[in-house]
Amino acid sequence: MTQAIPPQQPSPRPGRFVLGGLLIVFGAGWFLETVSDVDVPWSVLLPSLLIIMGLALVVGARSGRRQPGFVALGIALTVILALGSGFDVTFGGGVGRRVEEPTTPAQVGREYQLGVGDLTIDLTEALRDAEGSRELSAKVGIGQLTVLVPEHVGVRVEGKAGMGQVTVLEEQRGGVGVEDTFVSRGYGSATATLDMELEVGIGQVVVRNG
Amino acid sequence: MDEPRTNRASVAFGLFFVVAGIAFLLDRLDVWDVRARYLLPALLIAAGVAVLVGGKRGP
Repeated sequence: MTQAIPPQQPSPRPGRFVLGGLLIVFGAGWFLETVSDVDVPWSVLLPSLLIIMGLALVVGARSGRRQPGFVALGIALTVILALGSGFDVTFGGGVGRRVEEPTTPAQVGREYQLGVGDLTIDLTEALRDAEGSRELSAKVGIGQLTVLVPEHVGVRVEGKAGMGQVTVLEEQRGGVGVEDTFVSRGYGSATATLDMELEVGIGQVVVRNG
Repeated sequence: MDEPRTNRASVAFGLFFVVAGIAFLLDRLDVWDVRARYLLPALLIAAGVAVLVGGKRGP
């Protein structure tokens, strides 16, 4: 009597589960930040995901299978984190395109932050008839940071770009590790002044008249 | 039946990701400052080790 050999079940791929899990975590975090005020702690989450991916690869290696897609994803995440650490990129503050338009001078003096994307701070309405001095700081991890100020406001900018460009009115600096102070003409005699600390990890800082 | 042979390249990359992830986590928690001038040579060394270990044939 012959005994039927049951067909072999394909062994589960840990890489596939982890990859699926990663996509869900990223998507859920992004969705949460979009629809609510929740700040997802990307700065801690991303390295944790890399560790989980590494462990999954080691465990999955026992099956003898190659997992090139998973390795490529790990390399991409490592490069992103390496750029972030090397050039002081912040991943806090969310992802996407954001426009901040304070309407009163009192609303101007605060800290703005965005992880990845474009952040525009439009101060033309808030400082239209303003007098006196104010301070503001803003930071973007990867992307563009734009600040629009009325022409009568004198600006002094401590501009930083880990890798990229800082453009303040007519002046521009670019390269790696850009760090400079920019003072607009007429700053000393202006009735309204704005001192800003603007920083981008990778990307551009732009200050122009609105 | 033969046991499937462990994929050394996956082990090498996996260990590399674990070590890199721990380093980045320590950096983000302000325990250890990862700077570009340390990081880039370290990444090159790790990539070299991964290539060597991954290419080595098993017994």
